[in-house]
Amino acid sequence: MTSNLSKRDLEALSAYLDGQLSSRQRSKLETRLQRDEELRLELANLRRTRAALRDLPQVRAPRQFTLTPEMAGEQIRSASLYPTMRLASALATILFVVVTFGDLITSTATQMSPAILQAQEIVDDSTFVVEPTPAQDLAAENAIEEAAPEAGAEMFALPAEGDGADVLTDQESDEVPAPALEIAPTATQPALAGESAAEDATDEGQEQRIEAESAPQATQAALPTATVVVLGESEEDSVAEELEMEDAPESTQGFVAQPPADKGLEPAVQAEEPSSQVSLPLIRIVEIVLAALALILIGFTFYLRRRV
Amino acid sequence: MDEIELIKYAKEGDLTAFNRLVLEYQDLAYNVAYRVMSDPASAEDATQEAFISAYRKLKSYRGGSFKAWLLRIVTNACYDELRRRKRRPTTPLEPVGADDEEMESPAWLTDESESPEESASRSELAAAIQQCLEGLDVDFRMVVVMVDVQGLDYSETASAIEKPLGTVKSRLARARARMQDCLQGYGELLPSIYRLEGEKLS
Repeated sequence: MTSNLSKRDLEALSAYLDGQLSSRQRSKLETRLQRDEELRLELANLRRTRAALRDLPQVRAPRQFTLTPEMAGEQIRSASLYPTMRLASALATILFVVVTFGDLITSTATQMSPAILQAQEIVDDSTFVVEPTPAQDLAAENAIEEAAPEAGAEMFALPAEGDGADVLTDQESDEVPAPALEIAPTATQPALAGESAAEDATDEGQEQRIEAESAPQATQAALPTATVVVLGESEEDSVAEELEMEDAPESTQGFVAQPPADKGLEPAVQAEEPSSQVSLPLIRIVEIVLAALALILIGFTFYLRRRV
Repeated sequence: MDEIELIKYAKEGDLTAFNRLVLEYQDLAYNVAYRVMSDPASAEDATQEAFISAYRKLKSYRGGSFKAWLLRIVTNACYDELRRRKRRPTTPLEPVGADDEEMESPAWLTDESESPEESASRSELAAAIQQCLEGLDVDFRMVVVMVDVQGLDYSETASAIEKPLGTVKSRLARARARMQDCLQGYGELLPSIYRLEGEKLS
C-alpha cells in the first residue's frame, strides 16, 4: 500500500517510472528495489495505475470550437478599447478636478476682493454715496404724490430734488447715516446674498409703495434695504442716478409708474449679472459637462473591464 | 503551413490561421477540461472560453511549446469555470440514471467504435477512474490528467500550471498514489491487467 511509503520514496518511484531521475538517483533506487520487495510491489502498482490512466479513452470534442469573426472581433474590440477608455476616464477626471479647483480658487478671490473694496468705498464715501440715493428716492416718492394729479413733467424735475432734500433734512436726517454704517459690514457678504436682498427689497418696496404710495414708514422701511444694493454696487451709482432722474419725470405721467428705487435697483443687479454670466455659469457648465463625461467614461470602462 | 507559421498569421489577426490551430488542439483542450471538470457542459464552456482568451492573448505568446501555453489558458479557464460552478452548482458530479440510482456505465462515456464487451469493460474502468479523479484535489487532478491521461511531459505540465518542475513531480506522485488507493477499492470491477498486486498481498 502506498500509505506505507515515505513521501520521498513515493516521489522517487513516480519519477523513476517516467524516467525523470538522475542516473545517480536511479541506480540508488534500483539497488533498493532489488532488495526491497514491498518497494517493488509499490512500483508495480504505480505502473498499473499509470497504465490505467493512460488507457483512459480520449473523448471527442462535442463540437467545433473555432471562433466566428463576431466572437473574435467583439473580444478584440473590447480588449483594445479598455485601455483607451481607462486613459480617457482618468484624463476626464483629472481635467474635472483641475477645472473645479481652478474655479474654486479664482471664484473665492474674485468674491472676496470686490467685497472688501466696496466696503472701503462705503466707509470712505458713505455720506456721498448714501445721500443722493435716498434723497432722490424720497424726491421721487414725493414727486409721485405731488405731481401725479398735475402730470407736469418739466415743472416737476427741478423742485423734486429740492423737496427730497427738504424731506430728508426734516424727517430722516438722523436716519440716513445709520444705514450707511450698517451697510458697511453687510457689504462684505457674498454677492449672492446681496442679490437676494436686492430682490427682497424690490418686492418689499413695490408692495409697500403700491399699497401706500406716500406713507413715510413705507419709504423708510424700503430705504435701508434698497441702499444696501445700491451701495454694494457703488460703481453703478451714476447709472442708477441717471436712471432715477429719467424715471422721475416719467413717473409723473402716470399714477402706476414704477418707484424710482426699483428702477435704480434693476440696473444695479443687471449690471452685476453680465459679469457673472460671462465667467461663472460658463465655468459651471464646463464643470458639469466634465463631471458627466468622467462619470460616463468610468461607467463604460468598468463595463468593458467586466467583459474583458 | 506549419504551427509556427499559423501562429505568426494568427498573431497578425488571421482568424482562419487561428481556427486551424483550434482544430488542431480542440480535442486536447476539451479532454483536459472534461477530465478535470467531469461535466461535458462545463468542459465545453471552459474550452470555448479558453480559445477566445487564447486568441485575445496571442500576442503574449513568446515561443516555446504552444501546447503548454494553450493548456495554461485551458487550466485557467477550468479554474474559472469550477469557481463559477461552485457559486451556482447545476450538474451532479455523480452520473445518475433516470431512477436516481448511480450508473456504473454512464452512456456519455461509451465509445461506439468498440465491441459491447470491450466497451463495457473499458467504460467501467473509465467510470471508476473518472470517479477517482473527482475525488482528488483539483491541483493534483490537473497534473495527473496532463501527464498520465494526456501524455504531456513534466516541463510542459510545469509550464501549463505555472509551477516549478518539483511541484509537478510531488503532485503527480501523490495523485498517482491516491488514484492507486482509490482504484484498489474497485477490485474485481477492474480488468485483470489493471488489478493491483496489493490485493494479493493482503
